[in-house]
Amino acid sequence: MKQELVQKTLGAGLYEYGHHACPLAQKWEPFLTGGVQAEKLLVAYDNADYTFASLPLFTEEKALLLKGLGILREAFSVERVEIYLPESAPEEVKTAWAGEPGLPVVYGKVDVREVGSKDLLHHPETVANIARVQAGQEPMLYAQVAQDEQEKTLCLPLESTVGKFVKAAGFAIAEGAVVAGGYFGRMLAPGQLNQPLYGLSNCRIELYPGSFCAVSFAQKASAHAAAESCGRCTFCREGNYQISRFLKSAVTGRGAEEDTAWLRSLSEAVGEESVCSFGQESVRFLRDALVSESKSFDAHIKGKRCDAGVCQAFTDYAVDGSLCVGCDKCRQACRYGAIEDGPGFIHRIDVFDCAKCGECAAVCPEKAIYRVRVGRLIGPTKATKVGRFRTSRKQY
Amino acid sequence: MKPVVFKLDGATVTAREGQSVLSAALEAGVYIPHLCHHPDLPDAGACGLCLVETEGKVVSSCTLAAREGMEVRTKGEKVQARRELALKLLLAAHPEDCSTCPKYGKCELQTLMQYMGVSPEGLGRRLKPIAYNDQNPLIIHDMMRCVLCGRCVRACHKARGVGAIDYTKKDGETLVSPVKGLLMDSDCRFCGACVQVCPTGSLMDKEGQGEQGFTAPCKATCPAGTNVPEYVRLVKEGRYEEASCLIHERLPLPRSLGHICSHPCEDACRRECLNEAVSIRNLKLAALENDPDKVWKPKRKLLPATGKRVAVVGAGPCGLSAAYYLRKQGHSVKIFERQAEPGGMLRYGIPAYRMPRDVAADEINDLLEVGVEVAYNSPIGDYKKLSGEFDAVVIAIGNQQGVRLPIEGSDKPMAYVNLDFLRLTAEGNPPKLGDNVLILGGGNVAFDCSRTAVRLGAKQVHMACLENETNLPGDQEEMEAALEEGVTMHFGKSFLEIVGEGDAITGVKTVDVASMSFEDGRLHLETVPGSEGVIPCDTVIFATGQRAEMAPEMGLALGRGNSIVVDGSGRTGLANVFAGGDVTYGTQSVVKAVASGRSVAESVDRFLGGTGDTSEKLVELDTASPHIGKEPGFGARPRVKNGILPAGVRRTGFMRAEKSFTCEEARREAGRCLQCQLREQLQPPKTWTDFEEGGAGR
Ligand code: SF4
Ligand code: SF4
Ligand code: SF4
Ligand code: SF4
Ligand code: SF4
Repeated sequence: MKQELVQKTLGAGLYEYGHHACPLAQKWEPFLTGGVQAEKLLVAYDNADYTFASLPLFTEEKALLLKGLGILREAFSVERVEIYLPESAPEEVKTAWAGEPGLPVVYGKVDVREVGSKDLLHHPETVANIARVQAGQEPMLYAQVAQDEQEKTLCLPLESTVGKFVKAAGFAIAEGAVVAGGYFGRMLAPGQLNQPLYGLSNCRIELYPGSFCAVSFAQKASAHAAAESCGRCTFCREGNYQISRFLKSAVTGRGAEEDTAWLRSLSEAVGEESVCSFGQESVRFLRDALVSESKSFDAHIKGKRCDAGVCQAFTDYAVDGSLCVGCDKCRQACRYGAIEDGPGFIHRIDVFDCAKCGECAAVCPEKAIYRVRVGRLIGPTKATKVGRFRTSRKQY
Repeated sequence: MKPVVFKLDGATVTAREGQSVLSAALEAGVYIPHLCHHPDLPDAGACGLCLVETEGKVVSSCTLAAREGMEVRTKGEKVQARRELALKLLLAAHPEDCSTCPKYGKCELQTLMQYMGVSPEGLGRRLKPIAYNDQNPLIIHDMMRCVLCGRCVRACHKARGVGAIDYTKKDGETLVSPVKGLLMDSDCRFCGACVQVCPTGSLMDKEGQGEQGFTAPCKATCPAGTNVPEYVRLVKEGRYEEASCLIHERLPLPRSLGHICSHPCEDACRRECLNEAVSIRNLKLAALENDPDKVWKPKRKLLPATGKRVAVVGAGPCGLSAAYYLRKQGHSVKIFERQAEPGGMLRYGIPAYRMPRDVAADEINDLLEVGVEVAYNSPIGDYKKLSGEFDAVVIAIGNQQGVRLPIEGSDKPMAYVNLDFLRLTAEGNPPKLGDNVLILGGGNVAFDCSRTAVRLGAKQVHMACLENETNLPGDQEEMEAALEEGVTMHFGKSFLEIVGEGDAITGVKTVDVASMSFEDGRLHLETVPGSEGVIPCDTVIFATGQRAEMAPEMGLALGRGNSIVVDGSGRTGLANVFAGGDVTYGTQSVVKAVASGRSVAESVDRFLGGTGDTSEKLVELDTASPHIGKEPGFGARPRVKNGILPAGVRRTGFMRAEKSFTCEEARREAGRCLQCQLREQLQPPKTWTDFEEGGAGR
């Protein structure tokens, strides 16, 4: 019976999901042929995960998950089970799993220092797929697709490519950037959209149809890492703090020549010396970007500019003179009195008074206000009536 | 287990199976810098300092198990750069200035800084916004200095099994803190393991509460060096006989001391800082009372006869102790005692309601039965002559002379002195008392006098002393018992005159004390002008101190209060004459006297050609389990009070006033001990200065 359960799963060629991706056959080897009796079954997301795309497994598909747990318990004759869930898990998840007999739930990260070689650790997605395979169904994968404020979670067959997920979510692959794996992921070149979503610590696909700045993204990722690191490893805790500091300097025009070298050595050390997937994955994006986007880092650190027009320090707000209808809403909205000219005139922003709060852009009914590289002109220089200025938006 | 052989920088190192590369290297004398590793804790691979290179990877050597044939390098560009980076990162988040830190000079982080010669230059420095916290008893948390090595957390969770502290995150900053606000609420056991293992100045003992090379303060304070924490543990485990053996290793007359010891150990007990000290003295008594067969006795050491003869003068606690240990070292010993019975203060000073006579007599017999001869009713006047008759002499006559204050009327017949009064009572011939007795003095002997007077039937008993209630020299419990028994206290009085016609006494004239202080051992007193008054009484007992009965013509150099001047080993000016106990340092405690007696015995033994080693092993101690576990509400557990007879009953006679602990009470009280001695099991960590050569390099 046990044999059968194991064979059926292995026969489907299942992979462990997440940071520790590997064929299940390999993962199970010590328990199947190495004579190790499993002591505990742990079900947990990667420590590096922060999106938890497959949380519906714990509510809508609870039965499936329970079935997977049952199969693993039986296949490896293991009694003790621990389930790790994110502290941020919604109430419905918590209530669904409260007081489940024999299935204690821990809220928080896994302390990898406590996981022994006799503990069997699986990602929830893997547990679910074991159950699916056993029931003769196709293995699946949950993923999140996000663009601007919109976000969709969907479940597609395991081998689905990034492109397929994006399409299924109803987004178009526009020009711009695609990041698979969120903060701890990587930028995908257009040719890489036909890859499946493997080997990442989380299944979040982010689309940036407009402009994307890798330095600014890395900065946000490192700030997230510094805030979320459990803090036990020197490199993960202090390294990410320092990385985020260097990147903050870079995106605010205070970078120094030697910062790139610091970023390189820090990110390598954090990635290679941290104990768990969180630290190791936390610098994945930066390490890739330091190579593939080295021009952008140089531009920020040495050239004091953001070519994507994303980093505030290097951009100004400006009114496109060809789009403004002179409604005066932006001037009324600006708390700093930085906008000149009244109704009927093309409005102009005085960059010296502008605090870059973005209020004006938010209220403009014509979407005529843009971030432009410092010094770039897209409107008139002196008081001009509406309709008297023409320029192409393409030049931003 | 098969040893594992591997190569470390080309040299062959042998490790035990499963041992880490770091620990094997350190044992082989090769230093690899490390911070989060501690020899008594599981490793965590957290700090990033013990990095080594193997199979092309840079990894922590503390979590790298040694494998047969592996090659490990501690030097190399990448490994050194990365190790330095780790230290730079730690230093960037650490206060810059070491000189104001209490750990200065003892800090492991500081030694690492010196060893690697690294500074955090180029990185952003920050101070962790965590306030200095001295809200907890015994332990200071200054987490701004914490490098998050996690040793304390591992000590608390893994070594102790308590889990009172843990990592938390606050405003994005990782820190270690009690799991629930304060240590007390977190069921901390105040074992101090966290402090002991902390490499930096973040966890520190409060002032006077421990140092590096920590010894449990109760043990350190006991004049006889009794192993308090271990016998307390044995009592907790119900192992009374072993506890009794352990006590007898250091202490003669322990059961008597269980009744009357002034217990300096309890004054030093760290639990006092949580709520109340452990009731150590009562626990000792419980151990001894529950060893009825005296299993320690047959195991005691008795060395073969040396043929040397020693005279001991005085059969009080000091003399008995000296005689006992000298006899056990093989010398023949004869005690000369002025009184008809042995015991000194135990027999003639301390009243029977505190020191049951049968208990003292039985214990004294235990000592004498090793073969000590005693000549009773034999006062000695001429020590020189005695010294000619014996190979050595020990003077241990104590302070037997009560002091009569030099005030007018002090020689009236109904004005007694403390020791005479107590001795006569103890002999069964108490002096005549009036209805209204006034005791002058506030020490324990004064309480003995007043409580004795109550029992002798005095209608009113008053006490008057210089001190006020807060700096009374006597024990608090003594005062409480005296008050319960109806004694009236008058604090802050200086005595001017005993008034009354002819031989009669009608009162003592006093004046109020404004302030008092001791300078160069002399009393400086200021009184309140115009505050004179009279405390009426018909009997006075002076209890203002006692001194040695020594006269200069006895041929010995005398110091303050007639004490005999001795050197550090108890030698007097005469070649083979030694002295110990109160007669050498002034009236103190019985426990100090027995300790002094033993130490003089050791000097005399050496003088007579012996080793001076009186130690003996009466019990094979097991190692206390460091895994003390969690106990909800531990910190607040109140001191178990032993029973005491009602005051009305106590007043009627000299039966023992207090009751011993029951076994259940003893176990409960022993369970309150913080087991400070467990800290002594934690090894001091090794730093690079402990190694001959530089090891892994900077
Ligand atoms: S890598 Fe980061 S999150 Fe993971 S254990 Fe180390 S410090 Fe914690
Ligand atoms: S809100 Fe927009 S359209 Fe209206 S005046 Fe301002 S820029 Fe022009
Ligand atoms: S139980 Fe001991 S190790 Fe734990 S916090 Fe208290 S004193 Fe420290
Ligand atoms: S308090 Fe001390 S032992 Fe605990 S983590 Fe900080 S530095 Fe390490
Ligand atoms: S708590 Fe226990 S070990 Fe510590 S000082 Fe008091 S009696 Fe001694």
